[in-house]
Amino acid sequence: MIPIELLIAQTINGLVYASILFLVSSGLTMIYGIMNILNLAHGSLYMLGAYFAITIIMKLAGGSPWGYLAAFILAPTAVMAVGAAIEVGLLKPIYGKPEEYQLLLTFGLILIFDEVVKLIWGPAYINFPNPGRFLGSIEVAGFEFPVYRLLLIALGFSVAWLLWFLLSKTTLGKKMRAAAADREIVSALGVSVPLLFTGAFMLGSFLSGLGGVAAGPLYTASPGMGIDIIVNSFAVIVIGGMGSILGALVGSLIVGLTRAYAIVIYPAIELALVYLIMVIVLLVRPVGLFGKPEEVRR
Amino acid sequence: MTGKFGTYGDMAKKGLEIALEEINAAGGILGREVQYVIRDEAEREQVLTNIRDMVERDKVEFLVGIDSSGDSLKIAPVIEDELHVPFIVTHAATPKLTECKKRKYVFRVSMYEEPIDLAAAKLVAERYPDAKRIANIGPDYAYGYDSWKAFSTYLKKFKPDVELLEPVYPKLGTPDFGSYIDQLIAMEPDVVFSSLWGGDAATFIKQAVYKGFFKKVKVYLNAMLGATDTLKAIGSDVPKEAEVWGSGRYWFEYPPHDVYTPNKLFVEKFKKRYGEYPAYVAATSYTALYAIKHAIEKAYLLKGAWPTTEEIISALEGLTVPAPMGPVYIRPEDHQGVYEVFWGKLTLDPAYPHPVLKDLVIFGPGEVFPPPLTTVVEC
Repeated sequence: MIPIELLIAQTINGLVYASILFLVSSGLTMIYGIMNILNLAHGSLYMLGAYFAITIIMKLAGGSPWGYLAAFILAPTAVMAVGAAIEVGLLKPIYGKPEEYQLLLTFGLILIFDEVVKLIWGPAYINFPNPGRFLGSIEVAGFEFPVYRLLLIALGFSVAWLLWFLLSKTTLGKKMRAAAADREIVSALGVSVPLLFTGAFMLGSFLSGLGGVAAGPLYTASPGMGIDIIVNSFAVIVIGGMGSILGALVGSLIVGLTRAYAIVIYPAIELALVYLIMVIVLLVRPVGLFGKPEEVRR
Repeated sequence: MTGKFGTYGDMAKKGLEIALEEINAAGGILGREVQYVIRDEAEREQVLTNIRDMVERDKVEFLVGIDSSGDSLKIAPVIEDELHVPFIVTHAATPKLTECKKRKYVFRVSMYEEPIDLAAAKLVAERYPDAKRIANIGPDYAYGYDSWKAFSTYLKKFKPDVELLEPVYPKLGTPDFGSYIDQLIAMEPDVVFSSLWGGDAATFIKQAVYKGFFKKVKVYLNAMLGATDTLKAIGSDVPKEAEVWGSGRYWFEYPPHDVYTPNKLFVEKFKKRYGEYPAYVAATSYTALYAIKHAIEKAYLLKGAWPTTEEIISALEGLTVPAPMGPVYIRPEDHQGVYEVFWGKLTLDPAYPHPVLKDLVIFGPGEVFPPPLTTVVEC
């Protein structure tokens, strides 16, 4: 019999991981949904977020708590600028070309970013000063939880709400969704589609960078950390449905919680279970839980 | 050389460079200058091609290195059957490389897993007589499974009353150990043994500290903690409430510099040149080059002329190299280098740029190396 306290603890652990997954996969799925671009280098932006954050925290703020606050604002903004450069400089010229071009280009970017990170920050793991030092821990069901982890859960859900609000309640969000549905009509209505695309890509990059800043202090920054997150993010958006923010949220929760519970029940199947769910979803509902069938989109 | 674990390649290169310079500055090996070529192991599919290339095109006479145990087992048969070039392994730690069968061309100057695991079992049996419940966390591949197999087998032998709990195996490179940490806490173990390595070893400790793990688990042993890259990544997150023990294949302060000059000279030179303390691959790579030098010179003394590969192999068998790790004796029966095993306590010391191991407990090779060509791991 599994003690209820352990299940509560694993629920919280699952939610922490789900939050980070959501920050990354929501950007990935949004860029795909609006622009029809599968950015393989999305995980590299997450990695850049973590590295920018450590530089801000250590070099600019000397490891103080204020450094964290600054990092949470500045690092994703810097990643957003990188995202803008990628979209305007590299992706725009190949929009008309077959999809393989995007895949090759964004895959190439993964390799380039990994090497750039090694050149600037070195190949070694980089240690973040642990925010637990000033945030402390609280006890839940007999297990200790660093306050930082709980804040991450709050961050994940807040971003989910903000994204929902942006996309469904604001004019900008409506334009973005309209552009996703039919570029020509939106363009004919006088909306600058290229500008919308750049904006969407920047927002997606910001989210991935935010995921990196959030994850850095928990994990250890290392070149290649983007690969792990991008693989799991793909599982998330395949389960949730490509292009759906709600799908990314539900997918993140499914992947995060499944992994946490699997460790209690039968650790050996932890990862297999995630992919098993993915396969079942693909067989039963190929577009994902919240994905729209192809003919609806143009 | 590159990839997530690129620090290892970088450290190995630094160790090789120092040995190379020393040897060439002293007139090379019997007057011949030593040169080297480097290939990147991160190109996994290319490993065999790269090795063939080095032997056939670059005409290398010795091969040194290899990080991955899996790669080492893939390469060994090719060297045995095709290439016939002495291969000095400096890193890969699977017992299967040297202990399942004798391979003519394969030598290993670095420690392998089993003596470290056996020493850990001794340490637990001797230091913690009251410990009953023993748990494990290791990476989810052969190394993690073999380490627990060896540690638990020997511990059961030394201390039959222990209860071995269900081992947990996170995937290599797991970013978040939170779930595993709570899972281990729920098992209420007295001792947790771990074979996590590199960034994983550091990430686990950092996360465990802030999840109260070390308030509940009082003894934690990690077989690969004594690696400078891991210690750097731990930073100041050293558990205060528990005893954390670390081991490895080389610790830059052992043998002590005041009694053993080869280590003192190596560390001083390394620190001065690269501004950091040497990781173990630096020391083992350095040792590999000296093993080659000493073997050639020994064979030359017997023959009076430049020796053949066969004669160099005979000379390597039974050779003792004054390595930074201490004198390394290459057993003729299995070509495995044997030397002392250490376990030390993870400690913060402001005199060093990263946490260090203190209160070292030393185990002689006779105590912890299983007899040649025997292992508890399945061959």
